[in-house]
Amino acid sequence: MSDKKQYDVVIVGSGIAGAIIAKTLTHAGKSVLILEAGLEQGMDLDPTGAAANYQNYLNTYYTNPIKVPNSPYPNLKVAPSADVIDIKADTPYDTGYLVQKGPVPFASDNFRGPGGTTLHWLGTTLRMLPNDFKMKSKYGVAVDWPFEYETMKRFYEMAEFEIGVSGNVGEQVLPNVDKDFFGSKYVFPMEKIPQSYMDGVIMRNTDNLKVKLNGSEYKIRCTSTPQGRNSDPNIKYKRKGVKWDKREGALKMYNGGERYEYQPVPSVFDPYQGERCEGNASCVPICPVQAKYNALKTIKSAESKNLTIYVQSVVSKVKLDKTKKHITGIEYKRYTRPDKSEYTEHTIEGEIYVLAGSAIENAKMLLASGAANSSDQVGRNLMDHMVMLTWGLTPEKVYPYRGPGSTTNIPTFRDGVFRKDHTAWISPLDNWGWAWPTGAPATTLSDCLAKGQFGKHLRASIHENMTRQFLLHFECEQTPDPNNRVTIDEKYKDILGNYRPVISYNITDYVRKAFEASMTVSKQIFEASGIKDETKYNPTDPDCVEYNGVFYKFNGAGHIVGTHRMGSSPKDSVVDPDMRCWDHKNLFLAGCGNMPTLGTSNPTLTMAALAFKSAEAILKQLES
Amino acid sequence: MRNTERLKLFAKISAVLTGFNVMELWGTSMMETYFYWVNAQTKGAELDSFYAEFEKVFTYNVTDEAIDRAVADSIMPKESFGGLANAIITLWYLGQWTCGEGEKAKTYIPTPEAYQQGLIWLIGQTHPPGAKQPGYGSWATTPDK
Ligand SMILES: Cc1cc2nc3c(=O)[nH]c(=O)nc-3n(C[C@H](O)[C@H](O)[C@H](O)COP(=O)(O)OP(=O)(O)OC[C@H]3O[C@@H](n4cnc5c(N)ncnc54)[C@H](O)[C@@H]3O)c2cc1C
Ligand code: SF4
Repeated sequence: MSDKKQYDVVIVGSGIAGAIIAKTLTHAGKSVLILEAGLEQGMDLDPTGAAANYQNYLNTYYTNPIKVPNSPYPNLKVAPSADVIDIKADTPYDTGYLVQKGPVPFASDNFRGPGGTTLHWLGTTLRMLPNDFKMKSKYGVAVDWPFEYETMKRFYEMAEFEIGVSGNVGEQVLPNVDKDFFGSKYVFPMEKIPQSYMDGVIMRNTDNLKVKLNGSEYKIRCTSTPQGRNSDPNIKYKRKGVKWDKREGALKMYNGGERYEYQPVPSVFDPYQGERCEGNASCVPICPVQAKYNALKTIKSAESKNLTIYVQSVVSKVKLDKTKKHITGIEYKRYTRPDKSEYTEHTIEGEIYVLAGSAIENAKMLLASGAANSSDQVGRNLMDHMVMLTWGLTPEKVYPYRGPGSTTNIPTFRDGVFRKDHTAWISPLDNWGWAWPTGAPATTLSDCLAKGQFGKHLRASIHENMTRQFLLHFECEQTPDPNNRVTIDEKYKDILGNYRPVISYNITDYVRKAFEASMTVSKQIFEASGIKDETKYNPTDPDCVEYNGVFYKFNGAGHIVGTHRMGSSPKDSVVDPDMRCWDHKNLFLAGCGNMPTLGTSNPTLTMAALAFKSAEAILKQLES
Repeated sequence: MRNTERLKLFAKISAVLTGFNVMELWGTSMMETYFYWVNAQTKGAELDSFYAEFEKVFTYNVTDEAIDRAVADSIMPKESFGGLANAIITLWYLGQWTCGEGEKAKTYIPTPEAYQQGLIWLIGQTHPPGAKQPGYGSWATTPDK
């Protein structure tokens, strides 16, 4: 069966990448179709329907005893999501959605459903640093991007507008960055999110602390973290939107008038909810009031008369013409029951196609189609941040389990000559106690119960412990490795007959050495604050890896990056600097898969900036 | 014993086990839910002897200290009553109930309210993540402010 209707652009996926492109193009008057694998009710943007569906997510979260990023959301047999609860220590295994060949299991998840993974992201929105774009020429490792930081600057500003970033520009003192990084007059749309009480206590002893690492001395800095959650509008911020300037062939930001004040974007279900963070402290996995940005907000603000959305439509392939140079359509399977293998098959046509299914799914769709792979880079260079966690008890009460997940970070090791030797990292201070590494406070309780405690005594012990739990992250940059890759295999398919991703994955010594280095730094920070180190890694746990005879456990960050890298040559990259496939002029790829390297910033702001960059290129191409 | 009397006893037991007083526990609105939940999830004979043991504790001990000592001796040991005391504490603290052991263990949160009323969050001077939000900027000061 073939749907007759034609669209200027057909986009696969309604996550932030697809949503930004859809919004930008529909506002420029282009007709856009989004194909979305997830359930219809998740895409209901009418207030009543959206509220009912979101309440459903929330109740699922409340009653789910395992509180991981995907807990609130439906995991569909017809379009499964990668889930961290499926991760096992011993590879290979194929018991989850991802087929994990190992030797180390890939440690991150995503959400396949309307709005995508931003429904459960944390919302940290850091820009990459200038040196992150030139790792090869500066430090002799990984690859350079096909352009420098300067090229990204105006797109970063668009992304910060669209996501609605709260932060303080002046406080962003970053390594090897000058004042032009933001520009002297730049401000974020909203004031910074207040740093936590705990941040203040830790900063007292840590800010300006001198630490020693491999023969060098570094001064630790603590910085407030810019983030995609609503606070108070910054009255100096005058940007009002992004527009396509046809004459100049460029996207431009435009300002409101003298009296204009930026309006925080509320929840999609109630205009009076979510205009400001309320401290629910559950940003991952779900912000009850949607004060945190999610991609449904962008979809809702697209030009609706130019936007069509097909839900419950799972794309399996792009179709190529005889020359293999042109995409002629997208094949998808439409289902009515998410647990049944029944579907109807369709093909849809457009001028230009965009795959925005996230890094792993994009690679899978391309491999299944035999598309875009003359460089043999599709699926390769899969990356993530390796999050090594260290935790301890503070001497005074710091009252964690309050506020957004993280409000302060240590940027000191985000850049430096040490990158020749080991990977860089960022250290967010975590506001949610030991929840991530130990499952506290449930385990705080079970530990006390195991000692026979009950009643007032139990209460007092838990109070003493819970109010002193401190957790520090070391989010280490993974560099591209062609052997870390997504492939497909006839043996592994889901119930609709679509491929499941097969993942081969390992951690190089360049990264492992950073675990050793960051542990050295952690010890010095803990000592300076009198924190009693309680960090314990169990060598038989998943993702516990050895370096110099010591085991370090890392977690995935959810930053799935690098499977269809951008570059300056078709020989060693999949897409050009506009994220157009070198092999097919009318196929664009969106999402973190395009990123040649990862840097130490959470990748979504950069990816959102890239989405604006390719939206501009798509508009140019449509109008040429 | 009639259910209404047992419910009273359940409240008293819960107070001793959790360290919260009976009024505070009723204030969570979970008392009856948990009472019936425990009834439904526990073998009749075990439950009867659990209540009987507690009645004994309350009959023969007057001060809080004496009650605590008796509970520590006869109720808390793991082998007593299939670990029921710990299960009741966990239900009040986390809103969770685990059936079975080891590989076969399965944990339930009976209702969204059970999670939201978890006492552990009060003990940590905070709130259950995702509910009872304390308001913008509340995290920037101590919870006593
Ligand atoms: C726990 C967690 C915390 C995170 N925190 C941060 C953070 O603080 N900062 C940050 O920068 N990043 C963070 N991230 C990463 C961030 O969430 C992702 O980078 C981002 O959401 C990816 O957006 P995307 O649009 O590319 O893909 P997704 O959001 O994954 O969306 C893909 C979309 O495509 C659809 N789709 C997939 N396959 C198909 C198909 N075959 N057919 C049709 N539709 C399909 C999906 O249903 C979905 O709608 C976090 C991630 C996790 C897991
Ligand atoms: S702290 Fe709460 S209100 Fe604020 S963004 Fe996170 S979940 Fe939403």
